[in-house]
Formats: sequence, structure tokens, C-alpha cells
Amino acid sequence: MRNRIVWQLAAAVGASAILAGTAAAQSAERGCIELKTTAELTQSYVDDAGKSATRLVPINKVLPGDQVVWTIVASNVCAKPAADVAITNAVPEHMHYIGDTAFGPGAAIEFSLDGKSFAAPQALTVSAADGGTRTARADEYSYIRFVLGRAMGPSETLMVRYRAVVL
Amino acid sequence: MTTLARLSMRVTLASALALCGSLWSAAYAQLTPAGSSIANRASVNYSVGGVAQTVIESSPTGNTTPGVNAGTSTTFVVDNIINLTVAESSGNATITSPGATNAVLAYTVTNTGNAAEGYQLSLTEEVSTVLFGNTDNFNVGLPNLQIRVDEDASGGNATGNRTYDGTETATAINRLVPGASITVFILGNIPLGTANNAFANVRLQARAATAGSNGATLEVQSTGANNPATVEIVFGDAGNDATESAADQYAVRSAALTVTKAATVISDPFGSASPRAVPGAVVEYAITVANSGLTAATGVAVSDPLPANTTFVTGAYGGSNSVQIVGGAAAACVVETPTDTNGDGCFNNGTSLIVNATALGNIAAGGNTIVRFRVRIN
Repeated sequence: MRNRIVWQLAAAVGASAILAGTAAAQSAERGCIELKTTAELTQSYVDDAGKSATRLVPINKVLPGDQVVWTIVASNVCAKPAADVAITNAVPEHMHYIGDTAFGPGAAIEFSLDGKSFAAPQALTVSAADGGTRTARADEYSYIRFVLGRAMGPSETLMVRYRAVVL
Repeated sequence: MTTLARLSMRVTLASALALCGSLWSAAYAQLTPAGSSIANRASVNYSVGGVAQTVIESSPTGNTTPGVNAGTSTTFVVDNIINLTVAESSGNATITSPGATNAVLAYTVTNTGNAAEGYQLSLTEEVSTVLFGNTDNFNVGLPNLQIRVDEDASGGNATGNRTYDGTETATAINRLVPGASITVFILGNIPLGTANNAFANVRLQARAATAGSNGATLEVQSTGANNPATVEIVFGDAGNDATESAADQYAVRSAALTVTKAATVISDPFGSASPRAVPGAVVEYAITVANSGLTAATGVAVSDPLPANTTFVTGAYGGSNSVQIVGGAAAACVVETPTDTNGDGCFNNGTSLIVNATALGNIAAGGNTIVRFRVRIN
């Protein structure tokens, strides 16, 4: 926290020499992006107008078959733009990704079966029983990657989200 | 979680199933075990000023410290969903008979939850319910019914032989692992005198209990606020009561015997073409025992008082055989007095001719057996 205050002060001063020096000094212990992962459940409810709607609620009792919404928030905590931002997340053990639920404004969403090669869903193939190949199913994805096509400005926050089901 | 909230989550689950039915059915066979920790840690790569920076991992509250393993996983544990099925095993009624002991009904109890459970077992006799197309019309009587659990040497994996061997002793399921099915038997002593075509439907109920408690410690749903680090118990079965049941049926089939007796004059002292029943004439009696019931009659014995003013004819059916049997265990037998010294099932006790099961054999459902003997009119 103390470092954070110093850093903010430096940014406020805006002296590039001081800023550069501070950033260099802190790079070993503090990066430019704060990354946070949250797990939530979807809950159906009836709104004030009497219509059914859904909302996210904190993790409650979780059972096999329940869907969990994973939300990853990246915040640029530096005074400089962060470029080439790519958030990678392994689908947790005991879970399967649910197709078409990944969401990331401005980000290209890619998937991987092995954590090494990432591609769009239609480009991911696996060996089929007949010896050929077929398009991989969403539940076969083991990694999700959100690649932001632009730089994140200072103080900018990026939120990405997907759903997975507990096996 | 409130009931309402739980219900809402089920709605969500249902829609999830609709979206990915194949995924769910494939995964259902192996539910994530209760207590499993689900951990997730994302990472971000980026560059500043054209220089690639050290990776940063996520934490539940936000992490800025670069480096692999500098983040903290966001975790929660999978709670315990209690779910079970009880099914009748054979798909048809157990055919039995009046006086039968340990007539076996069989049920299958399956743990479809995600943790090992035990089960308390109980039974009820149904009234007028219909099963296998037959309407329940009698009760065996609770004192005549007992529960036995298939022996499970593995202690939870249900490695029994699914057959009642007479050596089973357990009356509750002590432990059953997720996905395993164990057989439960109900043994019935069918009262003598139970009518033919009597049907008794008997329902077995299983209630989840703590594994290892021999069905004694019933499971209770967790109430109050969720603790992401604690395994809580949720009843996931229909009715949300950790209780399921199924009925099986005793179909009582009794033998129904009728006895008819006919007399034919075989010969008279005059050698008549149409012999008359005069002194010295030989009369053949034919006793027909017919079974119009639904099951074979066993242990049948025919007893016929020898008519007065007649003399029993010995050796009438070849050699020393004085009785002919059609459709019996033997074709003929020797009649001794007063006991059955040769053990062939036929004797004269001094007043009556006795032909017992040794000679008659079983009388099949729909079958009959005829006993013939001859007397001479004094």
C-alpha cells in the first residue's frame, strides 16, 4: 500500500524522469496490471416489474451440474498504456467450459486444447473415432485466452467472463 | 441458502442441461466428489513501452505482484449432493405359494450423489395399488417380512452377488460409494391358506444416512449461510427429502385340486360281454386328481376307504402290482398291509388304500394323475 501511494504521487507529479525511475524500481514487486478472479453463481429472480430475470450472486452451495460464472478483471494500475494484453485462464479441474459463454469486450477470444496452441473454436480439431478429424467440442477446451486488440490506457479496466459447469 | 434461492439455481441448472445435454449425460456418470476443491488462477501477459512484462497471476482480491506463483487461486469446494434411486430389480412379480418361507423380493438402491452414503431401510405394505398389471389384494403381514442387504465384502463398492444366499444379515446399507448399486432383499413368509392369485405389493424405502452408521444417523440438509470452504449437504432427490422408494410384488399361486372317482365293472362270474355288478364281479375304481391351480401340487396323497362287502384284488396290474398310476411318479405299485414296507408309496392301512406322493409325484398346474385299483364284490 505504501508503494502504491508513492507511485500515485509520482504519477501526479508527472515528471517523466521520476516516473521512469519509480517504475523501474518497483517492477520487481509490482506490475502494471492488477488481475482479479471471481467466482459467482447465476440466480433467477422475479424483478419489481414481475418479470423473471437472472443476476449474479456470490458463490453459495455448489453442486455437480451447477454453472459457475468466472469473471476476470484486469486493471491498468500504471500511468503508461499496457499493450499486447492477453489474459489466459485454464478451465479449472472438475469443470467444463460451456460453449458460447466467453465474453470480453474488444477482445479476441481463443481456445486451446493443450495450453500451447490457441485458435478460434472452428479452427480447433481433434482426432475423430473414424480416423479423421472433427471440430473440438466446447467441453474439450482446456484453456481460454482473451487477446485485447488495443492498448489499455492508464486506469482502464477490462472485464472478461465465461461460464463453466461443475462435473 | 433459502429454499427459493436453491430453487432458482435448479432452474438455472435445468436450462444448462437443455443447452448441453450431451455434455451432462457424459459427465453424470462421474460426479465431482463432494469436498473437491475447484481452484482457478488466471494470468495476464502484456508489454509496456514495447517491452514484454513479467506475467501476473490473479487473486480473489486482485494481485499486482508479477511472477509465476505470485498469485492466489480463487477457490471453493463442491458440496455434497445427496441423491439416490430405488428400483425394483427383476421387472416382474415374485411367484410364490401359500406357506412359502423366505420368498424373495429384490430391489436395487443406487447412490447417484457425489459422496459415500449409508441408507436406512424400511418397508410398507401397499393396499390396492396396481403393479405388473395385478391389483394388490392381500397383506403378507409385517411380522412375516424382513429386510436383508446383499453382502458387500468391499464395504461400499457393492461387490455382492445380487442373489439372496441365506447368509445375509444386514438390515441397513452401511456404506455405498457414488455410482454404486446394491441389492436389497425382502424376505416373506407367505401365510398358509393364502388364496390362489393373491397379490401383495411391498414397498422398500431408503433414506440417506451418514456412511458407516448402519443407517442410524440420518443425513440433514445444511442450513444457514454458505461457507465456500465447507462441504455442505443438499438433498437433490425428487422431493428433496433424501428418501426414495419402489414396490415389488408377491404373486401367490396355489394349487387347486379336484378329486373324482369312477367305477367300472370289469368282469362277472358269468363272463358276460356286459358284466353286471353281482357277487363275484370285479370292479375297477379310477380316482382322478386334477390340478386346476397355477402351480404344481406337491406332497399329494390319495386315501380311499375300501368299500364294504368287497375284497381288494392284488396283482391286478402285472406281477404283484395292485395299483396302476397314470401320470404319476410310478406306473404301478404294490399294496402291502398295514404299512408300506417296500417304500413304493402304496399300502393298505387296514381300512383304506393309501397312495402317497412317492407314487403320485407332483401334480402339475393343469395336469392330473389317475389311480386305479380293483375289488371283487363279495
